Amino acid sequence: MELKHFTKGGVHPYDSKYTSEKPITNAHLPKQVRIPMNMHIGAPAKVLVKAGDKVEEGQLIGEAVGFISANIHASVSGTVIAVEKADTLVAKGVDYVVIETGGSIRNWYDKKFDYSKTPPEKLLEMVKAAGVVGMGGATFPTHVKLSPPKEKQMDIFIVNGAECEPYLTIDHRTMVEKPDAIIEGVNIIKKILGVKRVMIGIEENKPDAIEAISKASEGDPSIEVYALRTRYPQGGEKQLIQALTGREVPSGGLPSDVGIVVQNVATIFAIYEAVVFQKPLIERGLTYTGEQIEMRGNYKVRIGSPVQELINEFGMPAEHGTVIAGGPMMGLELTDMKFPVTKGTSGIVVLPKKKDYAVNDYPCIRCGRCQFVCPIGLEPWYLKTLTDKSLIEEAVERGLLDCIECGSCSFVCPSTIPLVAMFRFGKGFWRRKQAAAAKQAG
Amino acid sequence: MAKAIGGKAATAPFSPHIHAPLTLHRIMWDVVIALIPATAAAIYFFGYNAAVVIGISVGTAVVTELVMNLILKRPISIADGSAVITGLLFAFNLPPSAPWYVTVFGSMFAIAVVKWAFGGLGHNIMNPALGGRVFVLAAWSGAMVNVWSPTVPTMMSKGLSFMQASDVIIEKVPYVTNQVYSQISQISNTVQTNILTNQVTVDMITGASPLGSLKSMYETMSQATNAVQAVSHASHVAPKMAYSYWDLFIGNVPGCIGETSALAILLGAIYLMWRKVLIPVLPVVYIGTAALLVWIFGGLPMGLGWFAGDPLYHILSGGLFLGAFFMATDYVTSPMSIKGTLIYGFLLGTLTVIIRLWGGYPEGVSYSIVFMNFFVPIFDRYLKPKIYGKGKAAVLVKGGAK
Repeated sequence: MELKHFTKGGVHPYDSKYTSEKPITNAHLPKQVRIPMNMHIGAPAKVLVKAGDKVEEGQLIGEAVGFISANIHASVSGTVIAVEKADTLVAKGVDYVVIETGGSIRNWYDKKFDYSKTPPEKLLEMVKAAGVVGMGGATFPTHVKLSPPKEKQMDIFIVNGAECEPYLTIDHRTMVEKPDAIIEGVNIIKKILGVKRVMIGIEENKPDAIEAISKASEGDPSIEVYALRTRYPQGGEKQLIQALTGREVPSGGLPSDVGIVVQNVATIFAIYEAVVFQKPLIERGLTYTGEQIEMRGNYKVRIGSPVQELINEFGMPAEHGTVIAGGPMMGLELTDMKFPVTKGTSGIVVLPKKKDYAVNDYPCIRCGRCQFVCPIGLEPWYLKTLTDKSLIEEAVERGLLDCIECGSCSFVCPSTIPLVAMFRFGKGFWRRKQAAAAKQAG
Repeated sequence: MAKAIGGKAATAPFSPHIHAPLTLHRIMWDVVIALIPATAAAIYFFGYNAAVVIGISVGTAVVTELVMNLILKRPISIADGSAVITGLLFAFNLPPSAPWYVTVFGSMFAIAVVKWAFGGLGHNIMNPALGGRVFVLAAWSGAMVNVWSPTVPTMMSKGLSFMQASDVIIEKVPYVTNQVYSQISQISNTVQTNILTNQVTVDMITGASPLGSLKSMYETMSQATNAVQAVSHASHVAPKMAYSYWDLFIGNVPGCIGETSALAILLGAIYLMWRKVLIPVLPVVYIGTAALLVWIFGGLPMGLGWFAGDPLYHILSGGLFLGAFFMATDYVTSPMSIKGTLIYGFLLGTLTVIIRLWGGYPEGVSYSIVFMNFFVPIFDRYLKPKIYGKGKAAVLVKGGAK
């Protein structure tokens, strides 16, 4: 079988997938959950509860504000002890709802909803109500992705089962353990989007997942399963689309511009639960892993569980390197273990000290490795020179905004220059400048 | 910017959190390791004096680097190995008989002016070693090109010991001061005696580099008025340039210290390819272009017509291998894109052949590389890779980006 892959660049870090064989198990209920009101891209949700309120598991506590936003539900039953402002990994001064756990644990799985006669609009409504967001890390509200503009004709739905980040195995395990649920989720999305063709892409280092999904989709000619060459960032939306269909999303555009919608496996599973069991997104699977973690594995964790609770349960040595929310290539460093697991947290990775790398920031020797590995075809060394000199406009002309921040360039840079960080800075600078110019213009 | 977000040796607080094992230091020291075979070959073929020249050159380069670090208040960078590489490569570009002051000033110039005056590692506008070579070639041109030392193995085959042969190589320096001359005249007498007893011709001692021989052959032949005369001229000069392909390949010919042994250079290059430091696209295009053009035009200066050149003789002689594998491929002064690399390699090959066949110097490698170095920013400016989603392959079904 010929393996599909994206055409240009990419790296292959040691995949370090130590937990591929570990079944998904439930983590203990946390004593307390801290749920931030913007676990998604877009407007933060509006808090509906106040301190002292009793809440039930699955109760709406944060309401989506506007179209690009998502609902937020209580992940445990208990008492709201505070609504406070605190920082998240990406934003400052966010509303947190703090719930002390206590009370009933709800069983969501006793009756199945038959969606076969439900109209697509109603299904979309259910997804929206459940507060599903992209769980691969980007956290884009799913109902927005599933309702592309009417003038654009969608013809392919892609399932992102690549899971190309090192260490993470939760999508892998979900595909192995719940292939039927994934396929059912796919059917729901097919119905919502009205597409006739589904392409599932899974990296070849997960043969059992490929087998399970192939078996579950047997007899459905509309679903095609592809093995992908193991190469980071194969799971990047643009790369996956190119690998599977040969189409290129136009610069500055969205997959819907080429008639494609992509959803990752964890999100599809959440959609399945939202529709079939009417269960809002209150827990998610994640990989708790690291070379030094003995109890590393794949766990189902309530949204809002402080990372500290996981550490207490699964252990972490005192001497360790960076702790990351997400994968080591694109994840964020956890600076405070009080930070909660959010809808986008696909893993907690504890690196050993030697695996951390120091930013020494030696001069660029123009070795060209960054350019060689860039999957977008950018020239990171050149963009770095331009951003260094604050020539942001020229950098934008040279494709700065096309950077997907996959980190491949920083990963290979022998001078350990923080290229991606600089590009993020440059992009932010450009956006602020554009916003200021727009404000001045009118 | 970098200082604001982390500064020196800060742990990356941003993604990615892991890094490939390849670092700047490892790349540089890998290059140093790759130059060891050529260094060993240099000492074998040109005697202990080659070791002295290499030692002086590397020592000067490292000291100059340190001094420049201190003067410019930069972090001490001698540990990164780049100064050692420059020192080695510069020595490789000197004749084995190079006097110490040529070595010292050239090496100093390479580091202080070509490298640090433009901002240090990564900012030099041309290859520092070649910049140094071009400098000493201009300053002491006689010492650099007129007379070439023969090789130690050749002298040893005439009955001299390694030490004696090494001494002959120094003795043949035409610009030695009187003081030095008197010091070595004694050794010289012994050598002369040995040579006489072994009936070695004087030609064997003065020598000429393979390319120098070719050049004089071209010159002789250019005086011919017709093809028959040219061939007769050629046959007259040919015995003087009787270097076998094998001698050229292993490096048993007169020439610069580190450039004669194609074999040793290839060994180093293979090591670098294995370590993924070197991608051989540029050397292959460069050498291939040179070979092709020499084959087509090489016969012309000799009056033998088209497609009469000897590409093998050309690519094995002079600094082509050293230049192609270790100088032209210098990261800092070569184009970034594959497209640029192909064109760059082609132009280097073309320029080298033009200088070799029709230029004033017998050897065109250093000049072509230094000359082309200046055009690298233009290559980088205009030959950019295609950005995803900005080409023809991007299909806009309907509508467009918001």
